[in-house]
Amino acid sequence: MGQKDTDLHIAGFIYGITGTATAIGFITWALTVDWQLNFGGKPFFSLPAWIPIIFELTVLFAAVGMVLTFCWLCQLAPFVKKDHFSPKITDDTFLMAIECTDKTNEAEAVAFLQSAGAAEVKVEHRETGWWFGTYDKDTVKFGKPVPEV
Amino acid sequence: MSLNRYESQARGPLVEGSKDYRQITEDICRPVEAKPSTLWWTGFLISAALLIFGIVSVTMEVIYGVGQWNLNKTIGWGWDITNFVWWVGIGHAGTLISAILLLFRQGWRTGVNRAAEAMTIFAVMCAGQFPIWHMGRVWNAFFVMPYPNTRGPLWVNFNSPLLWDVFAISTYFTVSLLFWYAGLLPDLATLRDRAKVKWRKWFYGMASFGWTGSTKHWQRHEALSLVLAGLATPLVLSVHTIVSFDFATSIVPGWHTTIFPPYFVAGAVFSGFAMVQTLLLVTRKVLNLEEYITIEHIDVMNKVIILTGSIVGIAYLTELFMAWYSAVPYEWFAFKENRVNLNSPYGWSYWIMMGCNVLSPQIFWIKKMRRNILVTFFMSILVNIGMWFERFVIIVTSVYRDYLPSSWSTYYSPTLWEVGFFLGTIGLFFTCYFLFSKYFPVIAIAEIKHILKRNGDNFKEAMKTEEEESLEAFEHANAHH
Repeated sequence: MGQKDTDLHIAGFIYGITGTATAIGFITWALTVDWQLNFGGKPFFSLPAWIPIIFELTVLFAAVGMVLTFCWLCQLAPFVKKDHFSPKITDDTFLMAIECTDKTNEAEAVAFLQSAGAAEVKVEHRETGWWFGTYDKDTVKFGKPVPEV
Repeated sequence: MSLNRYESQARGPLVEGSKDYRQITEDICRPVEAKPSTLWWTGFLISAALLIFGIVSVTMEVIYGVGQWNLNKTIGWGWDITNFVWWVGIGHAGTLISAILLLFRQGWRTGVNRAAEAMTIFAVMCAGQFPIWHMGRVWNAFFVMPYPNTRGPLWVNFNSPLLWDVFAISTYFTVSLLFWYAGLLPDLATLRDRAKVKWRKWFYGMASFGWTGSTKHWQRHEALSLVLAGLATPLVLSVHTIVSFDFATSIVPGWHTTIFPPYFVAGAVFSGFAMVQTLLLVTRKVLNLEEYITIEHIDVMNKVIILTGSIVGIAYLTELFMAWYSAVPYEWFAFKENRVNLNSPYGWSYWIMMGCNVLSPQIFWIKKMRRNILVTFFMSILVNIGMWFERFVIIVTSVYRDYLPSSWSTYYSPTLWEVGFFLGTIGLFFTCYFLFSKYFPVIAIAEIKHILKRNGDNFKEAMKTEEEESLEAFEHANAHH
């Protein structure tokens, strides 16, 4: 559909290396600087023994960070109320929302969609900020549910 | 029909009964929207009763101390750590199905992944109970976390496998939960949009986080699922590897072996799939979902069971061989006298393990048996009994006779409260599963829709012509002129 690919995975990578750095940094500081403990004469800086925790923290940071970023980007959270064009879209219907501005000829657009075989065309007016930061004031939209083929 | 839609007829349809999208939504939402059946109530109440028994058992242990269990100086780990490893192992199938099979693009995962992931989360919850309550002074359990404290600050030992386990299990639980819930969002939105009653609208509205199903949401959702799967794949392998380090990094005869990590992971997947079979065979019957969790699904999962069961079998033989080949007398004694010798106090448990885990799954070489529901159900129970005994064998038969014969233990058997604790976690597991199957869609609705046009029987039927087409006709139809 010509949508720009999401950069979520890059964010995930950044969170991951943050986790790696946190684990290495903290354990190094705790065991070699802050409170040196002698475990059976082994070196204070015993990196191989820390690999499991470094790995786990990398995964933990990446996963938690990505999910939070995903929720932020999509503006998803408990009790968030969003404007849904039709309850059928989570069942078996595809819906296309087209944003109209002052310059749009509404009647023409409706006629075009109907001639293209839309099952239903609706013109709906939405309040400002119905969708986080995407639409300006005074916008009008209409939905076009298309039957599943 | 383009080539990329084509799938071989060798694999049967994964959605039966000529469904369309509408019908899928209806079928899977029906059990959530209907009143629970008598069967559901019976199962739920039995589980809740077991859970209460477990709570009583744990209370006894907290009030009177770990002495309520039959552990002693020699057998410091008995039923509790056996149960811990058993539950963690069961918790491996869910993420394996959802993550590794997603990366391998296995269509059959969609029918079973939701329930398997839920099972994973509940199993890990049960597993976590054992090390925590085993601490005795459980109100100090938070000492395992590295936090600035007034004792120095004295940090936890980052070189200890037991601490690695704390990180591994908690990370695994968190990531599995996030993965599971992210996948649930679209389906909870479906339930929200179908809700007629006020509390349902409120509950599913809250739970679906305001999911709208817009293209951008889906696009990010798919990116998220793919990366989470990529992260969860090494994670799932690491968790049981680290659990095996609890044993393998010690010098106790019977544990002192380098094969533990892969052997534990294979065993975990083995027992996890067995538990998935147990649950899904009941679920599909009770919730009328036989058209979504098909014999085809059962068949492929039985193939995983025979593969992992055989890996486990090879591992048993390898460690036995290595115990002899290493020429360490203690190691060989642990295997020869404490395990293989049927006349030794715990010899019987070794042979139960061998029988249930290595011999009995071989029945699945026969296709008829893999596709037989009764056999599969019986086998799934048998495998889990066997896998419980595997952990029992590893733990108890290794520690009860150590290097010093004067400290050898007398026969260890659990007290009522040890057994009660174990039954309590079974109660917890099934209570959670019953509630899940009542309030959440047990099959990923959106994902089933995704595979419908490739794996639905009506669509598959249409592809048959392509399969039977001659090469010339195929070339003629598809060549670019």
